[in-house]
Amino acid sequence: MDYLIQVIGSGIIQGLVYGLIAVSLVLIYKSSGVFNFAVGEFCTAGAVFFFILQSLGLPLWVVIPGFLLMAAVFGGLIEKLIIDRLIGRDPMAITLVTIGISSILVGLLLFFFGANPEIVELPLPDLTLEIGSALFISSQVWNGIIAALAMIALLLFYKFSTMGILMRATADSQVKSIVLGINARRILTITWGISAVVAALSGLAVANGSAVSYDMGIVGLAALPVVLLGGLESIPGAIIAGIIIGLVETTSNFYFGPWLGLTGFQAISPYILLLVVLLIRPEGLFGQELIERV
Amino acid sequence: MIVIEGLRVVYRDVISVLHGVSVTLEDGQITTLLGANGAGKTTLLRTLSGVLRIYDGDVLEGSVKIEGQEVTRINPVKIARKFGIVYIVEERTVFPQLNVMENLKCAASSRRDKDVARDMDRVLALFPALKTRLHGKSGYMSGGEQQMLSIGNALMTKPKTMLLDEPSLGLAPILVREMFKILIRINEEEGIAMFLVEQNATAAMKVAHKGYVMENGRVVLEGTREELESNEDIREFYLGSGGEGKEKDYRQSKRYKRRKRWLG
Ligand SMILES: Nc1ncnc2c1ncn2[C@@H]1O[C@H](COP(=O)(O)OP(=O)(O)OP(=O)(O)O)[C@@H](O)[C@H]1O
Ligand SMILES: [Mg+2]
Repeated sequence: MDYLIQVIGSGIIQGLVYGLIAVSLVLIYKSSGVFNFAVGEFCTAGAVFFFILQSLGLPLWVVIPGFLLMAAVFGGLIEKLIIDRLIGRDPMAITLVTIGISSILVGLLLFFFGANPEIVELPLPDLTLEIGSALFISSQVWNGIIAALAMIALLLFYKFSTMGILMRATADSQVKSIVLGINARRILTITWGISAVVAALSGLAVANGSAVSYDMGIVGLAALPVVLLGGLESIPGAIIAGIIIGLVETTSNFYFGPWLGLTGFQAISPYILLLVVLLIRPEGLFGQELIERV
Repeated sequence: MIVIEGLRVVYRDVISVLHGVSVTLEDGQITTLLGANGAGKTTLLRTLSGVLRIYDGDVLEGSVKIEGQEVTRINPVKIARKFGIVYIVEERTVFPQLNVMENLKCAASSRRDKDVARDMDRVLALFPALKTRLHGKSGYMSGGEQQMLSIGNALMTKPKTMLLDEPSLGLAPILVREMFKILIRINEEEGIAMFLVEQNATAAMKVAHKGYVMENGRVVLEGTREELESNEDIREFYLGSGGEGKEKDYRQSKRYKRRKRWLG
């Protein structure tokens, strides 16, 4: 029983982080049909920005807005310098370019940040949680809280702020926004900035309590089954699918893996689930219905 | 005033669609553009609004001057904002995933003046049907309601000129009449000029001050409403009267001759 609490709790926390990475992907996919394969490096870059500001000895209330701002500028710059020049090309072509961006970023991170992992520790009150013999250490609890708060903030922003509405409008149709005088290109740049902020928060949640290293970006791979399961266009879908995948991973790690006698089963379990779901619902669990009307 | 002169437009560098089109839109007037499928009407609107590039089209020759300024190389967002040109596309300028409120807010988002709230009330007064649907996804509304929202969105940009691409498409006759009445009202009350592309010539002729007829990328006829309405060719081919009951062969050869005359 205590095991169950431990497994489910860890699964949910893990899933919230996966979900947040997936949200970062969905934001860009919705607005341009581009799948950003560099999302993992966006996470790493965010965690690195956090580490740099923190090691300058700045207080937390400066470090947090500071690293988010750096992430926003970073995402916006990548869009402006690379993606913006490719606008009008097939989204698949741009998607392939993001694989290139991913490799370049890994190289840059290795060059500037070095090969040694650095410990990241948010100086926050101790929230260590003990339920029976289940134990959630403080950093783990905080990581869940960070991911959950980030999701809520993003959902509210996307739903209610003017920029959020404009982002959804340009995602619906760039031409229609343009003929109404909306600067769709600028909004795409901002979308990449916000996507990078979301990734940075995920990166912080991945690194906090452990470490950031130049190759941390492989967590981006964990988001792949999440977005495919949730539907590439749905933010709530990404969040729910994240939690499902998190739970599937931890339960397979604790129960199914040992039971089947397969070590490492947790790594493939999301894909098995994904296969089953996609067989039944090819658009994912929450794929957006296309509203078409003539 | 918008003056289009000798416009030649191609898609993908090779598909020639407009072969020297000249059209003048007077301030505050409704100008209609009639023409069969594939004549190049939508292409002309894309060029005027500046979005042609997005469709891989290019202006080879000719000019589009808005208030004396050449705009064929200008960014469409700037054309919309600076010259108050708004384009109601054939698929309707509506964001289906957004609700009515969000649509109207978006449309007004590039404005800096303080009349947005007032204009929103005006739009809802003009189209009361939208009021009941404020918070439902606009993509689920009926075709008529969507066209109303499309016009509403256009109005929220506070335009000087509206480009309308077959707004009557897919609407029931009674709705078409209602919509054209509203367009006249907007034109008269707000002085907004309109460039009305239509296949429904009868309806368009009733509201327009003047009109053009396009065929295969060329303007073949132009004139005031009176001139066009009394033109025999127009009556026959677009207004569906005259020429009835005649033998088919004869009709076709006659049409062929007329065409030659138009093209010449
Ligand atoms: N993006 C494009 N690429 C290539 N050819 C195009 C493109 N858009 C339109 N065309 C071609 O240009 C010609 C004119 O098209 P256009 O849409 O301007 O005509 P239209 O008068 O609006 O017709 P309709 O009444 O059917 O809407 C057509 O032959 C069409 O196939
Ligand atoms: Mg057309």
